[in-house]
This record gives sequence, structure tokens and C-alpha cells, in this order.
Amino acid sequence: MTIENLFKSTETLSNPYIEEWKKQNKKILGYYCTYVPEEIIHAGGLMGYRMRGTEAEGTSRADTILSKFNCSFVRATLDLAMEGKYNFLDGLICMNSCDHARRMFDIWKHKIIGQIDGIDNNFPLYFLSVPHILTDRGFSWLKEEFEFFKSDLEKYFKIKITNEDLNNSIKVLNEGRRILKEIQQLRALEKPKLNGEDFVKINIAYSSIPKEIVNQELKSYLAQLKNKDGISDYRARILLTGSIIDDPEFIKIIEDVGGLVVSDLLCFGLRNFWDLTEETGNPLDAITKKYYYKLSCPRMMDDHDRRYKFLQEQIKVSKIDGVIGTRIEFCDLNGCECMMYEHELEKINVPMLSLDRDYFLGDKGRFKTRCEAFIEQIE
Amino acid sequence: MPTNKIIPYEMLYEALCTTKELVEGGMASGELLVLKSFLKHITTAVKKYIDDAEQGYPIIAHHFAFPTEIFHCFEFVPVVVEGIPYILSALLPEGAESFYDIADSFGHPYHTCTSQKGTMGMTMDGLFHFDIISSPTSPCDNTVASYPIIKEFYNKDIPFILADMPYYRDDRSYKYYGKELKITIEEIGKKIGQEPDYEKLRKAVDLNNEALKYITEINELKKAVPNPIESMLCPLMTAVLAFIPGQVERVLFFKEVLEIAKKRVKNGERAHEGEEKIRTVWPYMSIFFDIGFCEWLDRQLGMTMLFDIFNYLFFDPVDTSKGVDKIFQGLAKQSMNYPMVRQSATFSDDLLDDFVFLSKEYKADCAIFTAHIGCKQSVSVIQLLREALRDELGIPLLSIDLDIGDARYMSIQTIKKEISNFVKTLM
Amino acid sequence: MVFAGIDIGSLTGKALLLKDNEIVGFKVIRVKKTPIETAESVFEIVLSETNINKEDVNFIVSTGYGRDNIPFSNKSVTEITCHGIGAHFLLPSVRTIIDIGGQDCKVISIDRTGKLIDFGMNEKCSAGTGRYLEIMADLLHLSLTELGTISLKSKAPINLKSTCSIYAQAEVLQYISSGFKKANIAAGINKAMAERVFSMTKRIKVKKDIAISGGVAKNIGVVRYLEEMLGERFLKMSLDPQIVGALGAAYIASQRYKRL
Repeated sequence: MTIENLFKSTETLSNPYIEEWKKQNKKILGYYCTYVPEEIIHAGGLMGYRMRGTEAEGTSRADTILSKFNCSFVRATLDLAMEGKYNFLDGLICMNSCDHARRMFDIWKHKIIGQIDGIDNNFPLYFLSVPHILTDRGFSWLKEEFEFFKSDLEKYFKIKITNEDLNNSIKVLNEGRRILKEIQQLRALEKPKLNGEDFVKINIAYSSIPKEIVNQELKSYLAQLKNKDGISDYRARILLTGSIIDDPEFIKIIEDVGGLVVSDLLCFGLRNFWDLTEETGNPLDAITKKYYYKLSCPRMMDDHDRRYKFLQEQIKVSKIDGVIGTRIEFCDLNGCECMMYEHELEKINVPMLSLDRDYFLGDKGRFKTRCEAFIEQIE
Repeated sequence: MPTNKIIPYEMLYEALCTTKELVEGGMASGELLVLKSFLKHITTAVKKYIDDAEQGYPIIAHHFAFPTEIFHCFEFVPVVVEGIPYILSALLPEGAESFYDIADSFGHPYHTCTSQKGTMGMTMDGLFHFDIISSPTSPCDNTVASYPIIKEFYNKDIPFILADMPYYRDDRSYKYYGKELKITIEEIGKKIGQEPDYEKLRKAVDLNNEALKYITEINELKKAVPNPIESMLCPLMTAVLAFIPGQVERVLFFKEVLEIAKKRVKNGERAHEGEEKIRTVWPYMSIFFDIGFCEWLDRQLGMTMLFDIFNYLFFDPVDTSKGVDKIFQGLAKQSMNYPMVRQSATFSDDLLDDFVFLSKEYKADCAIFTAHIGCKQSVSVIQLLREALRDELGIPLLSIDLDIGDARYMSIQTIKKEISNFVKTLM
Repeated sequence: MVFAGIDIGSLTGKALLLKDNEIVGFKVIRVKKTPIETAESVFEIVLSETNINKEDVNFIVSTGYGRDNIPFSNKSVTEITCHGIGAHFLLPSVRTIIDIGGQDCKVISIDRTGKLIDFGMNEKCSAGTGRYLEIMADLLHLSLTELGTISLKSKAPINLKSTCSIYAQAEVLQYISSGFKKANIAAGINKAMAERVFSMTKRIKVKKDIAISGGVAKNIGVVRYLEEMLGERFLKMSLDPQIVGALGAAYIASQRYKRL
């Protein structure tokens, strides 16, 4: 098991680790959003798998169900499901993260379950209602949601998830998070030890490989990185934010024109691992706390200021020359969030490039030109 | 101290008065009865808001999805964020497009919902001065994304009071949201320095309950063939629900509409001459930027718009006899089942069931779904609804991509052509 | 010292030579099958027309859509940066350039040294680009320049409602078949075009002096409407506005060479 294998595994939707997992008759639950409590899934001996659009060639199947006004990322994932590419899943967890992703619950219910090979009528579909604001009442609500989720899993998979199991899972999840945070620190150096393309591959691997295995891999990778020579031939240091990015190819385009991505505010990125779960006290309390109060995504309606503060910190710590925010067409949440950052960053003289894009990189040339012009502007 | 500014409402008032004059003076006495009633009552209500604003009452900018009557425990002026751009797009000759463009020029994505973008643009342009901004965290991404921008670009320090709406529709959710509403009111009260007057609230809810009675009766009468009510009631009712909550004008309007409907049903009449050729259900909104659109449907196509998403109220009256907490819980239940919130802010089952039910009960020949570019969650379920109507009732659904409040995205000529062609295939 | 700028766009290829900071030659040709062919061809033509040998060119910068495919260029720089520098070379007081090409519309903001400080580009649709005007000019059987000049006669421009160029075409055909004057239709088209471009400028903070470049700059109708909307007159370029990118590239070549 080498880092090359890890990276290779991100090029396909499923991977050899998943195949091995399934050979052992173990189960995989797909989920869309980083607010889903991975500890609970792990504690049940299950594996969580973050939904991606890898291998999608288009959305012609999904377009027979969804509208052209729907996010192309979500359409890509639906297209893959309709093609049967997601039949390695044993369940799907949806939540009220964004309008496009939450409708996957309705569409899987009506059009996928029992209608696609490998996804029969017993396929479990879960939903989590996560509050959109940060309050004490919301915390209690979410804790209850997580309790219901836990007992639903126990019932369906005929397992028992004890507090001990949860405590153990918290440790396992935290280990991975700690390693990723250390790796992030290596990007903040003047000579970053890895580029953004590899970093997103790590995050993708982290979300699609059983945790114990990927933790080991990342641990050894971290050791390797520390001894590596850093990257010095770049023109500008970039922080990447905006809509979901699960395609390393995309980041390569920016880096090929000299914009080294050394930090981000993304969900296949810092948002996924930045906050640790407390390892003391009642585990369900700790888990609820971590997911509710974590570095948030724009779905949290009253939390923009905290996200912006984090952005400013990262700009300082990683010595950012410019911010690139990509907005997938029809993504309201990130579209508006990037708009706010544009104005805020202008006030503190941090250059920001706002790029509207489709999930599929249709016009690579134009995209490259914009990034390159931005680099020319800030270098 | 900046005085309360509610200039778009003044623009609205002027437009309403002009339209009222034209309609009352220019139309024969038996024509456009529902419109005349609407103009009479909404003009009264809007005038009162303007006068109250001048007196310095706090202006609460709120989401239409709130059970707006809850604010009636205060002396206040409501600004319903989503309503104002769309009613202006209907009444102003130049529409509300310039306000959307202001927001776009600040970098707002072009595809977001013009209902909120319009008020955002007006606020950025200095036409509004609010004291509070309040919203639920539903029914859509636009709400979650745009309200912080309205605040951010208007006044970072303005009290921004949000009520978290859960995704489910069960007792646990109603209880939770009921508490959210009560806390919202208490917080607003603190900010504007008023003690909530729950007796005043009860009176407002009672008035709404009374209006609900009339609405339910009107909806029953719509079962008649021909439909005794003009299609125009659909968008007008949307405006009444948004702009006149908890007030006597609401009761008077629906009472008058009911009388008009009763008379017509007695004579087997519709609102217009000629035959009713086709009965439709519109599972989303009607088109706001063209004020003559519904009349065109009735007169040119003989098409009656039985319901759009705002006209069938799938909720019960709120029990006001058992104390304040029960009122808030009842309002929570009502607002989570409010038109559009019911279909948007939760699983799609309600949308599918509701419109299959309505199409069946009301003998609809087809459904027309306005696929509004701003409403990402509703366009996601069009195909599911199309299949449900086809499989259960054998009726077709036409979907039209457009922007409900922006005449430029898909022009009214193209929209009319699509509908005409669709109707031809049905005849 | 001779420096060359080569701008390979989607419709035309341009080459410009700078000698001792003076423009000694430039050429515009229609694109060949590949960017390399276009670049080689236009470069050769301009060299022969100025009697300069290839070996005497000290540094070549390529720009435009095909900039990375030119093996004989020493450096590639985006057309955005080049347009800024080129406009500044011609008109040192310019701070905002609107460049409307065949497929792209750019708004470029520069500082007093010509350096890029902000820019905006149109999104994927063609409604604010030269393509839109080409289509419309075709419908009216006019050349692109005529589309501009004829519109000056108009006192009542039509009001094109659709933002999307596909629907706008249908509208224009309707006006033609209804017998509306060509001048009024052309004016309406130019006005709609200007409105699209104008809405792009709002995100960039237009500062005077302003300049316009690209093929569409030859349409006097669009230019006049834009000036009205911006409340400013465009400074006149002494050169063919199509050549600004290549000029900027050549100037950058001269600056790069100095640093070597």
C-alpha cells in the first residue's frame, strides 16, 4: 500500500479498498455532506462514502429527471446512480444541506430504489434535518436527530452501537483529522511540501477508504512529506473556495499557470477535518458539538462572519497572494458567499477572482485564461 | 436619525391607485370584479403601512413564509421581502428589472431568485430603511444565502432574527418551530422596545381564521364547471396572503370574492364570455411580470387557472382559545404547511399528493409548471410530478423555463406561444 | 531592438513589431486551420512587409486563445494583460478598457503603469460578443460596420426584450417581417448589445479615461450607446482596435527582454 495506490484510487468512483471491504461482507453508506456524523457510521462497523461525480461523462440520464437549473455536480452524481455505478452502496444518507442535494432523497426514493440493478427495494434511505442556525435549541434538536439516526442504523443493520464504540470511533476519526491538519501545515510553508492537486486527492481518498486504512496511509505519507523538498517554482499562493471541487484536474489547471493552491475553504478540504471531536464526556454530546459548531458551510445562515474570520486567518497563516472562488452555476449558497467575500476582501486589499463554472470543465481554455490573467495580476 | 423609508411601498401605492382608477373608471360595472375588490382592499392596507411608517413605527422586513400575523403582537410596519418586487413587476410599466440588475452588478449570481434580489436591489439603492430583518431558515437556498446579503450590504448591525424550520412535518417539528416563533417574537420585542401584545395577536389570527373560512368555501365552488372565478384570483390571492395578513381587509376581500363566486355558480357562469375550454392546475406560481396574463388565459384560450401553489390552503384554523403557546404551535403548524413552504421546505410527497389530489378533485385537464430559474428545489421535482399525474390521472404536464418576475429571461410572447401550442395538442 | 507580439484569436491572427519603442508594422489575417499555421503565417507576412528578418527579433510574446501553441514564442501572456498594456501604450491616461471580440467580452481595469488590477469576462453565452452582432448583421444583410452606421439614422430603436441571443433572433425576424425600418432594428440590436456589455462593467468599477478595443469597436452604434450609458466618451485609438493585444504583447516582450 503506497501513496500512489491511494492517489490512483481517487480516479474511480469505487476502488480496491472498497472492493476488499465488500468482500468481507461489510457495508457502505453514501452521503453528500460533511455534516453527516461519520463517528456514528464508523461505530456501527460501517463505512461512510462521500458522493462524488468522478467518472461521470455527462448528465444526459439525470437530465430526464432533473432540470437544467439544477447543480451539475448533483446531476452528475445522479447520472452515475442511474448508470448503476453507485450500486456498491448499501444505503444513502441525505440531509437538508442544499436544495439540489436534499432532493436526492426524493429522487432516489422514486426513481433509483428498486429500479436500478443492485439497489433493491430494501435499500435504506436516511435523512438528517440539521438546523441552519447556531442556537441551544438547535443543538438539542441535532443531538436528538443523531440519536434517531443511530437507532435507525442499529435496527436496520441489526447492530448495537455502544458509547464505547462511539468513543473508539471518535479517536479513530480524530487521528485522521490530526494528520490532515499537519499536512495542511506543510502547505503553509514558504516551500509547500505538496500542491493543491495532491491535497484534494488526499481528501477524496480520506472520504472513500475505510478510516483505519486511510489513517495509516496518511500517517506514512505525512512522514514522507516532511522529508521532501518543498515546491518553490510558483508564481502566486492561492486560497481556493466556493462550490464543491472533487476533481483534481480542475486544480491542476490553476497550478499549471503558476497559482499554487496552498489553502482552501472547501468541503473536500479544510472544512472536512478542521474541527476535532472532544474525547471526553458523553460521546453523542461531543459528536453533536463537533458537527454543529464546526467550521461551517454557507448553509449555516448566521455564521458568515465566523467563516470570513477563518478565511482571513488562513490568508495570513498561509501567506496568500490571492483568493479564487469558484461558483458552480445554480449554486446559490456558494454563489452568494463568494460575492460577500469579494467585497470584504476588496476592503482589506486581498485580490479575489470569482469564477462561474459548470461542474464539467467544458471550456478549459477560457478557465485557464482567467486564472492565468489573475496570476499575472497578482504576482 | 434616518427616518423610516418605505419608498417602494409608496411606488406600489401610486401604481395601485392608478390601476384602480383605470379599472374602476374604464371597465364596465360587471367586469374584473375580483380585481376591483383586490385593488380596493390592498390600497387601503398599503396606505396604512405608509402612514404608520411615517409615524415612526418600526419596519420589520420579513420573509413571506413567516406566519406574518405573528408580528401583529406589535405596532409595526411589515415589509414582505418576496412580495414587493413581484407586485411591482406586475404594476410598474418598467417592471422591477432594474432592481435585480443592481444586485447583479454587485456580483449576485444571475440565477438567484428575483423575489429576494429585487428587495435586495431596492435596499442597496437606499429605498428602504428597515429596523429588523426576520426570516425562517427555509424554504430554500435563496433564503439562506440572500438574507445575510441584504443585511450585509444594508446595515451590518441591523437585528437579524432567524427562526429555524425543521425539515419534517411531525409533532416534534411543530413543537420545535412553535418555540422558535415565540422566541423570535420575544427577541424582536426586545429590539424594538415593545412588549408583545398577545391579545392583539389573537385578534389578528382570528381574522385570518375567518378569511380561511371564506377561502375554503371559494375553493369548494371552484369545483363547478365552469369555474366561476377568474384565473386572476390566483396571483391576486398570492398578493393578499403576502400583503394583508391578520387584517380586516383580508376578510372583506375573500368575503366579496365568495359572493361573486356564489352568484356566478347559481347561473352556471364563468367570469368571462365564451366557453371554458380547458381546466388547469399550476403547481407553482403564476407569472407576475405580465399583469394581463391571466386574463389572456381566460379570454383567448378559454383556460381557467384553478389553482396555483398559493391558492389551496392545506391547513386548519389556528385554535386561539387555549392560550399563547398553543397559538404559536398552531401558527407553526400552519406556517410549515403554508403554500409553497409545504411543498418546498420538506420532502416532495406533499407536492405530489397535493397536486394529484387537486387535479382529480377539480377535474383538471392538465397541469402547467412554471420552472422558475431561481427555485432550484421545485424544478428538481417537476419530472416526479409529471409522472405522478400521468400515471394516476393520465393528464399531461407542461413545464416552461422562465423567471417569474423578469420579463427578459423568457419573453411573454414565447411563453404564450408554448402554452398555445400545448393547448392545441390537447384539443 | 525588435520585439514581436503575436495574438492568435478564434477568428483572426494578429502580429505587431516594435522597434525602438515604435510600431513599425502590424498585420491582421483570418485564422488558418491551426494556431501554429496562423501564427507562422501572420508573423512571416509582417516580417516581409517590414523587411525585418526573423533572427533580428529579440523576443516574442504570444497571446490570445492560441498563445500556448506557438513554439517560436518566448513567452505567453493572457490577452487580458496584453490588452491592458497595449491600450496604455497608445493612451497613457486610459484606466478602463472594454474589449469586445468575436467570442469574448472583457472589461479590463489598469493602473497608471498599465498593470492589470481587475478584470471581468462574459460568461458562456454569446449575447455580449461579436458573434451576436455577426448573427444579427446577417439577418439584416448588412456588414458589421454598416450595422453601426445605419443605426445612427434611427430615431426610434426597437426594444429587444430577450436577453438570450436565440430568442432575440426570433424577435428581430419578426420586426423585419413586420416592415420595421432597418435603421431602427439595427439601433435596437446595438442598444441591446451595449446593455449587455454595460452590465458587465458594473462589477469592475469603471474609471476614466475609458477605451474600447476589439472588432466590435468598429460598430459606431454600439460605441455611442455605451458612451451614453457610461457617461463618458471613449478615447480614440490611433490604431486598428483589433491590434491592441498584439501591441501589448510586443511591449511586454520588450520589458521581459530588458530583464534578461
